[in-house]
Amino acid sequence: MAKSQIFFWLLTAFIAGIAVASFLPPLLPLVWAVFISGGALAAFAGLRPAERVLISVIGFALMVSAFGMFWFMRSAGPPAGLPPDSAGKAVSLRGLVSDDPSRRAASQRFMLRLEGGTHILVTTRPYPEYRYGEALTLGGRIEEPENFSDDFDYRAYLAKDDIYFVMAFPNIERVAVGGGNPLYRFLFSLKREFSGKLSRYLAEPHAAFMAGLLLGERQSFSPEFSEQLKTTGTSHIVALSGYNITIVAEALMSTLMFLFLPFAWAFWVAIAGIVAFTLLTGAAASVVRAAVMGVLVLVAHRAGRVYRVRNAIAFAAAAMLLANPKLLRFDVGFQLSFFATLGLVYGTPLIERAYNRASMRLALFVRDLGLVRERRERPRRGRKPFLKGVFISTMAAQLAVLPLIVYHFGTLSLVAPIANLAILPVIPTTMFFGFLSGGLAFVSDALASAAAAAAWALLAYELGAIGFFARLPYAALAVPWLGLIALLGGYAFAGWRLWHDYRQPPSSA
Amino acid sequence: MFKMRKYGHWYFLGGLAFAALFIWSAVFRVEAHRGRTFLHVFDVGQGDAIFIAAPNGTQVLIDGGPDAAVLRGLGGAMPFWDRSLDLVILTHPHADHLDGLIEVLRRYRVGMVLESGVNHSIPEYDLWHAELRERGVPVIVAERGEAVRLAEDLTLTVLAPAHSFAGTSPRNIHDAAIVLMLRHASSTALLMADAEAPLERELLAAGGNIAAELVKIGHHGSRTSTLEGFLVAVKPRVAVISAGRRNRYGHPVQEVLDRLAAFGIATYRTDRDGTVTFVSDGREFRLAETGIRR
Repeated sequence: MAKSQIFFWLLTAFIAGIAVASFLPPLLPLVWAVFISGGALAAFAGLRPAERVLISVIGFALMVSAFGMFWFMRSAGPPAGLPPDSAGKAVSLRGLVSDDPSRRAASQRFMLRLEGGTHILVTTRPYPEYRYGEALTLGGRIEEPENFSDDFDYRAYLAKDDIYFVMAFPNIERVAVGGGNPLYRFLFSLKREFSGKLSRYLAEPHAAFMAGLLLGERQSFSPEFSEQLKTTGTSHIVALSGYNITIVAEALMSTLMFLFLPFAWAFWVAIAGIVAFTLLTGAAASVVRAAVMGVLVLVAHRAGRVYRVRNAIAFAAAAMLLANPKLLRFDVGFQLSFFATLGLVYGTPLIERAYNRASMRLALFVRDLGLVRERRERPRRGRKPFLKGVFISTMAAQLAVLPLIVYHFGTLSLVAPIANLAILPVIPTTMFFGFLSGGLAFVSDALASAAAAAAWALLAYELGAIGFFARLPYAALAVPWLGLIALLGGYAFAGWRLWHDYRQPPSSA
Repeated sequence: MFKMRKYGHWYFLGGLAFAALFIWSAVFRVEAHRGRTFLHVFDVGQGDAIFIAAPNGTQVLIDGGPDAAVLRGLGGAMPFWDRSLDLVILTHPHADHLDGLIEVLRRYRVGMVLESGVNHSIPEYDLWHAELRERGVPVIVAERGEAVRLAEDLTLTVLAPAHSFAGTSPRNIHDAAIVLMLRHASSTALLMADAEAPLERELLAAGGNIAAELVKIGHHGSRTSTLEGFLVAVKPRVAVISAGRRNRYGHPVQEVLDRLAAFGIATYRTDRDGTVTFVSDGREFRLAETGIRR
């Protein structure tokens, strides 16, 4: 067994340990049992010299997974800082706004970091507008988050970011401004400035959609539009997840290569695009995670061999989970990123093969019907057809996350493949013009308007297409009962299929 | 990149096609507006936002609703290249009329603002004035008798407040609301803002001509507005109510709806019909379309 393989299996064991512990009640004896049996296996590996390496690897893997289980349980412990019985009491608190407040229709929402490091999620009236780094005193009732509906565990959703308390519409007094990390303060003000400029050149709903594309801001969408995105399976293009970043990066690469940029150039431009995008959105932890996954997919395609990035993906996932083990079960964005990455890396070659086979069959079928005369083989162009590339990578990512989406959202979008195919190819160009317009707005009004006009035309097309596909009958089916079956069945099948196809790794690798 | 030259003509052609599209859409738009005044009552939820587009391209926004929904209304009613409003009117500084205007100020070049100038202590009202100062937008205090000539044969006249409320703190801010009459040749629309019974009585007592064929019902169709005597004096043919779907105040109340029905007035409601658009050719205001979902 090669060292790199051992490394891979140990990382997988760590992730598996966290996964197991996420779904079990905290059972410390079980952790010990796994740990000790692993240790015993490793210790006694010497007795069977023939299989010594294999047995000791299994032993160490068990120990590592026990560590993963322990790591999850440790993180899921009770909150620090505030006394556990503070919920329901009227308090007066002082803290720092520790993220970029999100603005909704009738409220704004931000995190407040208290001196002890405890975070409180504050919901308040839309005005006055608070900003990152401001010191506030809050008077009001502190509450534990409540689950509003049966199908969404809001408590767990907040707990994954260590939020155990919320405050709604407290009395707020601004004490000081300009605290916090200066880098974040700069990034958030850049973001605000940029989206402000952008919205001076684009009307609604185009401006909101562009802000979604460039900054992942979706609070200013109308409820109808959010529903349309869901129906057509296109919400991912405005969500800051690895799914979004990888798909957009792939489409960006395809576009650049379509514009005859050499591959190496396109690769670096796409990487730079991901970095710029991450910074522009304020480099929140979730975005950084997404960006890492996005870069890995690009690297995988550059390397041309998926085996080279297998360890990198496992390592990235393990590192993210080491930082916050609760992501695995409770962060939908993490799950989507991770599976989309797997889909893009492992699924793309399979889909491409299936596509080629299908298109050949279709060509033969059409010829046999006598619809077309047999054509002589034309000399092939050097580059991969643009639409085909976008189609294949979209399908790979979509199929990989399909069970997750059905499980979490209970809807199965039937128009998603075709809607994505209609929209995704123009997304990078749209983003480019949007970015250009926002940037030029700092320089020249006329130039920014010109860029915004081009962006408007593309946005109008995209919004029109989304509206069109959402209105089709049977665009999406509500399948709440399919959830868990789809999740387990889907991934079992995908796992089996991948195993089947990759069973014999090429010895030349 | 050098192959750009080889395929450059395609990009050039695409640019030309886009320019042609742009020019023709502008031409069609100007033609569609020739001689016509459009009055949009935007569906902004529980609040008011009314947009007037004059035949000559002059644009007026009256109130901004409670949130950014007004921006979607403007995006639908204005051509995409148009980033300016000639006149913005704040009838009174309550959040359901004011909050949307702050985003409007940030996104559109505003030529002039008309407001009542009453005191009201909510943070967004201070922010509104700060943003106005920062942008140097001229602010006019509303008073009866003021009239804005929007186009030939098209005027917007202030019917209330009877005197300037600048710097005062009336017990009910609604009594200082700006009531407007839009007159396009012989077609008329009365915009009541959030006027309640006392302001209606004041208008009746003032004795001016308040007859109008179209009326924007005061205060979202609440119980405290739209007196019988008021309807007798205005004699409207069509009424429109701006209210939010399933709003917590129960607006519009059944009483007012019954009263309007008893007078035989065709009533449109943004909570049911979505954005309601009327068009006038100078003879009458008639319904152009409903149901533009925000």
